[in-house]
Amino acid sequence: MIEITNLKRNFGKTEVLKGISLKAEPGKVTGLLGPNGAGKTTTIKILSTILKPHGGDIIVNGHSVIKEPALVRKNLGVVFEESGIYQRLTGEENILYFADLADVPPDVAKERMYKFFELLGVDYAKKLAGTYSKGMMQKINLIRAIIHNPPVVVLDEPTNGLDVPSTRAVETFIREMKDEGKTILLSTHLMAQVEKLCDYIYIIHKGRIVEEGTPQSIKEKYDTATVEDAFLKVVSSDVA
Amino acid sequence: MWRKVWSVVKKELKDLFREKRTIFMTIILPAILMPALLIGMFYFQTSTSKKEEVQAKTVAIQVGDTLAKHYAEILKKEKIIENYIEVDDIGKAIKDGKALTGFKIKPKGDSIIIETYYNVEKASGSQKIQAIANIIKEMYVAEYLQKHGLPPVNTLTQIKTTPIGDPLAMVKAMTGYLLGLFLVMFTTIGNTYLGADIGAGEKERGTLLPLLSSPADRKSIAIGKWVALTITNLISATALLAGEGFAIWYVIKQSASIAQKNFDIGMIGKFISPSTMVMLFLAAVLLALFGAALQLIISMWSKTLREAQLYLSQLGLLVFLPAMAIIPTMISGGKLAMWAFYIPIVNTMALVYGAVMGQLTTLNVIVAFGANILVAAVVIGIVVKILDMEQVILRT
Repeated sequence: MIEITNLKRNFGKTEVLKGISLKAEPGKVTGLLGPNGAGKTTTIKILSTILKPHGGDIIVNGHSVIKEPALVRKNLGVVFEESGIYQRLTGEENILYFADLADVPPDVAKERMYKFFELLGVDYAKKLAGTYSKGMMQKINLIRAIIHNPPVVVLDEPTNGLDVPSTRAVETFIREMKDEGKTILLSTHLMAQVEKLCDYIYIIHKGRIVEEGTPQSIKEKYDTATVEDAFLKVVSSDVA
Repeated sequence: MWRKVWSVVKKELKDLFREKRTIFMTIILPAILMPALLIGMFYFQTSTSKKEEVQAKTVAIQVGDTLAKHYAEILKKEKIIENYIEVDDIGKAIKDGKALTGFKIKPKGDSIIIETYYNVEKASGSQKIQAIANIIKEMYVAEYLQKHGLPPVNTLTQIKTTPIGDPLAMVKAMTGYLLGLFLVMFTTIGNTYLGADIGAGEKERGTLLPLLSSPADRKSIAIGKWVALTITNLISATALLAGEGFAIWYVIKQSASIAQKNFDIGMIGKFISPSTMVMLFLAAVLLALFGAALQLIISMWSKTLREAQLYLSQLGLLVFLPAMAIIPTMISGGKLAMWAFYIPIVNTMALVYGAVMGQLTTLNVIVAFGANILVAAVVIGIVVKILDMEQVILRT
């Protein structure tokens, strides 16, 4: 469970987050949508304890990012847009390193890792990561983030720049995680993906939550055929 | 926590040593540097002195100088010189490299005036011609005394010489100082690339964010990186010491064979004993700990790899300043003051110098270790803090 309450954050004099509140529940994929610069990545960086909030708080499975950042990180798996894979290590070594850092016993980590390899079709993990394509790296990135089996998973543009088969594999994987009962917060600008995966969405614009609801309810509210059209209406009406 | 520290250490070492540059900079370069320098200097010096020796063996005298020719013949017969040449202009002959020295002898009543010539650009010329002049003087006096029925001069005076102190003291002092400098160099700035890579490299490649959002605590990450850098610094220092050991062994062996003596392994013992080597290694550990802490904080603070490399190479100039602090002691061959053991870098120089000179006390070693570990701990504490400072970790 993720509970964001009145979250504020400035960069210098610029107010990037102006008091956003949202909730992501277990067993559901919650989408965080917004145009570039809306505040999605800042929210995720605060959630992953890299940045500190200037107001409000985020509670992850009962732990505050302000008061208990270490416990938040234990409950959290974050996939950043930039894969951040160590190029001179193999895919396996990358994953097992993070498992080690999360105190996952090596045999458990390996068992979990091979299961994920099968689900995502990873058969290259013994090669150095420097030889991987972007899609190959992102799959390793995804597995690395959840190797410690966190109850909460945050995905920041997880399929950005991936080809169709890789995108589909990642989407299937997200569904599997949801079925396992994990809380998933998905930040993306791919509206088709939102429609396919998200149970509930929040639209963030200029540092505020400007709309929320299920994809269906939002489409109905704005009388559009797609979430993308609804999103455009929300964002343009907010601009106006 | 220590399990995580060990994970970070293993990962960092694996990551660093898969880069070919790392192996070259950390092992190969320090291992070959001292042998290249020492053996190179040795061969340069022996070839130069051999050339000078040949020149020295040939002495120039003036054409028509019968007295000079008389003594030159005796010197040649006595094998004090190998040959002499008769020339019109002694100065020109020396300038042209046909001889290192030359002399003229002019009679003046009962006495003679010996005019000597030598090349001031060659270090040994003055000494050599002085020695030749003294021999001629002695021969002339002996001949004179004999002619007047007096006893030979060598029965009138005798000289006995007793050397005091360690004949190797200056060589040891120089070796201690050079070795200290190289240790400082390789354990603080020799691994600049690795130091830069371990912090700023992570930022640049985008691997720092996943790492800091992982369940690992900041302290484990900072200590793990520090230990990994310390190990690489220590590998460099070990390679340097091994190279140094080999170079000293080789030079002594070659010197012995040139002097046509049997090589005695014990000669190395006179120079650097096993206990000295242990002390040198401890000094390397000491500096590796401090140097790694310094590299890490600079690397973490920097935005990019290039910026970190720039700062770390500038640091190289700064570390040489404290390293200069013991030069006065080295030149005077004196005993090191206690303050030198309290200051990182200076204390490594002091330990190396003291170990080679055989001046160290247990207190010196304890103080040096205590001081460096304390400073390194403070620096690592700062690194842990800056890993929590978003303005530092997000500097891009």
